[in-house]
Amino acid sequence: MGKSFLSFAAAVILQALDNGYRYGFDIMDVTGLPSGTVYPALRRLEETGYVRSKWEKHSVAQEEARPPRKYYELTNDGQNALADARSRYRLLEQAQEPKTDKPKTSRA
Amino acid sequence: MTDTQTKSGFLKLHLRLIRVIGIIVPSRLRADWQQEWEAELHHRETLLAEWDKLDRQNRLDLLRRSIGAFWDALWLLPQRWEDEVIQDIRFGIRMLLKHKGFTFVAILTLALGIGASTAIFSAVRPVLFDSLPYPQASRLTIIWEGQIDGGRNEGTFALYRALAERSRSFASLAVMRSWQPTLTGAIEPERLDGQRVSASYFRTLGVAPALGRDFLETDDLPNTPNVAIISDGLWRRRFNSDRALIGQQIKINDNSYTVIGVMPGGFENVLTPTAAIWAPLQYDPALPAQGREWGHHLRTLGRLLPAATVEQASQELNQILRDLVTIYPKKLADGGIPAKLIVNALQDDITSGVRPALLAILGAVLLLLGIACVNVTNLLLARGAQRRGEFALRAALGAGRTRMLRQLLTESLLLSLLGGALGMLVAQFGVSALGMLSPPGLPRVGAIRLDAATFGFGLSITTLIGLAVGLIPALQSAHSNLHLGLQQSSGRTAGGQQRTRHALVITEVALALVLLVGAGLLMRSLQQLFAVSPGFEPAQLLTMQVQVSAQRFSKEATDQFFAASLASVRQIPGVTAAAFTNQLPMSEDRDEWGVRFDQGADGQPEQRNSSSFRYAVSPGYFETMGIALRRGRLLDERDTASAPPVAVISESLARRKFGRQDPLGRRLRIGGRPDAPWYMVVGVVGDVKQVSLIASQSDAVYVTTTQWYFADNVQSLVVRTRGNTATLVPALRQAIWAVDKDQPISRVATMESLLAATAAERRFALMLLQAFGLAALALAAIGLYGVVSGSVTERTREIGVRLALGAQRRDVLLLILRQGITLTFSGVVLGLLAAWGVTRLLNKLLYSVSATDPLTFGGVAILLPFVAFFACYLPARRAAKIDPITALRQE
Repeated sequence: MGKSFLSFAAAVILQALDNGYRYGFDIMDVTGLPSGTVYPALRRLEETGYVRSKWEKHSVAQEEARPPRKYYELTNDGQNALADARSRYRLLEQAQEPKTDKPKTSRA
Repeated sequence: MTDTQTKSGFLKLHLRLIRVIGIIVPSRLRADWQQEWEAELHHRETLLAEWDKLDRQNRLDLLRRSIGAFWDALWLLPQRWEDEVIQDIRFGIRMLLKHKGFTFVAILTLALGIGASTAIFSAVRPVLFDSLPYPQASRLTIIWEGQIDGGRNEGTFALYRALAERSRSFASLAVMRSWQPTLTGAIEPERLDGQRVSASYFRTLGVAPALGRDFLETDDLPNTPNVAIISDGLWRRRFNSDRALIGQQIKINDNSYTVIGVMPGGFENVLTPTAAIWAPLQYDPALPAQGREWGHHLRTLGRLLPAATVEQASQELNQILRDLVTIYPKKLADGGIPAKLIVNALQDDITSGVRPALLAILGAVLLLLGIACVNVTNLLLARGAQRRGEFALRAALGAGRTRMLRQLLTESLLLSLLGGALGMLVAQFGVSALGMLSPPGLPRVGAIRLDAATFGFGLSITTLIGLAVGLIPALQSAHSNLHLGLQQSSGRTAGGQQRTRHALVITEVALALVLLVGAGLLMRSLQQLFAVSPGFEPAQLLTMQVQVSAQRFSKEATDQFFAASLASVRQIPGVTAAAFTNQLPMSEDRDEWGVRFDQGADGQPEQRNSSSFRYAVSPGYFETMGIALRRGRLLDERDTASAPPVAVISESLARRKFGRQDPLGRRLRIGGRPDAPWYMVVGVVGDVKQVSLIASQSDAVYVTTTQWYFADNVQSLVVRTRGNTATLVPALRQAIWAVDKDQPISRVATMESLLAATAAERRFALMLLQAFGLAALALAAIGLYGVVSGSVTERTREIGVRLALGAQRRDVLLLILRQGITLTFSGVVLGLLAAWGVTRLLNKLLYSVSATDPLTFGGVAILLPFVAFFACYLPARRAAKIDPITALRQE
């Protein structure tokens, strides 16, 4: 159900994940979508099984004195769905760009 | 603001935002959700700080992102339905819908209990719990003159002036008397309720007119122009809310009054709730020797200074009184010296009359609520027994004890909430019914309504009940043995649960008995009360008040008008006798005068006045009322203004003054005027109850209207009739208006209804207690039926075995009946003991019946088991009809 149909925003998010942006805020930076869109979309994608979430290692978080972050990965289904979507949304091809370590803040 | 402060401020703000938004995230997802967002925000902030880019712009961006979390949380909201609480509720609703019969009975029982108590609470709250609707109402006091015999009397203007001059405890003092003026003018004349007040009246209460001005001291002097303040209601009704009315003149009793003010719409005049118009007393501060300034007819109101207490004020006033006695010995002696002054808090004073009745009613309704709760608890327990298998299964599948407890509590809370919602409807009806049925003397009837506080009361008892009725069954179920439950999904008895249910039924029977005993005692009191003879024959007696305008009528004209009216009334077919009197027994009339005989029993002139009711009546009054003649003769047509003044006195006055001596021929004087005539006693009549059937004072002096030295403008017509009294009213009105069409007629009532009204508070309490008692009886019977019936169901197999082994059906019937009867009698014994302890609280409502009246206790102790027997007989008969074969095959 719904697996064959992805919204453009969802497809963009999948593409961002594929590009290596794994955290919610990074996805927002790279896609330019607001947080109110990105997170619900991620949860929906997780529910459909295109995305799975994991918590980062405690040790990493402890070093930065903050709670562990949650990151998202594409599943195999997600890879397939993204491939489907790419054929529909031509723009997605252009949206691919290499990941840098520097976060993009909206107006930085 | 330093940079670090700003930073931590922002940090706090966006993190706090996440916390707040997290509330709407389903609880089982909340911790993860919050952590994800907080970690991202932290991380981003740390990075920005490292790169030295934590400027205003970026901080705002962080904030914007955390606001976006709201949409994320909202997206998760539907999953809340999967929360356990919601699951419990949904399951609870399904269970309630599945057992419709049970749900219906339980909700209805609770609705009645909650509705009745909420309605009663709303009625008693203004009287028992709220303060009066004035600023710093606790400082308002009322001051009475205390008499030597313990009675109390209204004050005089002279005393008010003396206290106002000398007292240091009061911020303000005021006096008032009731006033029934007739509003005349363009429209038809209307008799109003009003008050003549000292200029300080509204200031003492702490209220001011909404329109115009308050009375000034200069308005309150003799021979100053007439001014009046009117109520909001009158202003709207008669004057179309015309703001230009201020400064205009209206006609009252054929005199012109300038309207100077209109009171606010919310103003509650607790001393005379029906008052629609106020005018200054205009008494003479010079206190002329024989003036009305010395008459005991004013109610005295005082507002205490913040520092003063009621006790201090009382001490101070009594000290002033002692000083006054030395200053005005003669004056005070003439008016009857008050033994002391009594200072009461206004709130206590106006509510003390109904307080016992209201407390009794409140107690009764709480008992009823208790019974309703016990009943529902029992129903829940019975259902718990049926659901033992279900819970055992759930426990076996891994449900925790707390989870199951919560499930049961949720169900009982659901029940109580539904009951409470329906109960509010019941309360709404109850409040309107109470408004209609409430006794006329109930203070602050206007304040009875369902408002936030009443709903709060209803909601809190609803919640409490939900927890209370759910707790016992929940604990019982949670404790029940797992294996036992699985084995016996339809089975034998579980001892502990039976015991609890029995205890509850016993409680229920006991509570019902207490209520019934209370109702019984009140009923007996009322019976006793109405067995008291009022001293006249109340049946077939019609009464009405007729008033003449003093300005248009002289003494002679007044006498003529009443005589002509009487003659006209006597012509009406159906009227067998008629007469006028200045005060009517059992009405609110109360006209007491000091009476002094020229010779006491010792032959010496009496030095002191004693208080007696003064009746100025037309000849034929005694015959019309049916008052018995004991000695001498009655007043008749011979006793005209020109004839020698004569009086008839009451039996009690004759006995008290002269013992066995003959009172005929003695002479008496009424009032303190030195020129007052001496009336010769020509007859003695039976005692008449003037105020109520309970009041013991019966001293009375009767003279003819024509021999009384001033005209009573307001008189009551009493008419003895044949046939239906009510149908005569229009003819009577016509007869009086045929003499003069401008005279208002009011207070039309049969003597029997007046008589009933004097016991209105008792009757009101009785009516409610009877209703609650019957409801309690029904609930107890239902509870008993439920328990006995439940036990028959559970013992079906046992009964089958008994029958198979040769027991007679009679034996089975007796077996079950015995169980029910044992429960009933335990309840009755417990209830009798409780009633014994509780009914003394009713003492103030009882009349010549002891709080432990054996007849009442005995009667109820027979009635209750009688009803209980039928409640047990039905299931017992069912048990006796059990087919042993079917019963044994069940398992």
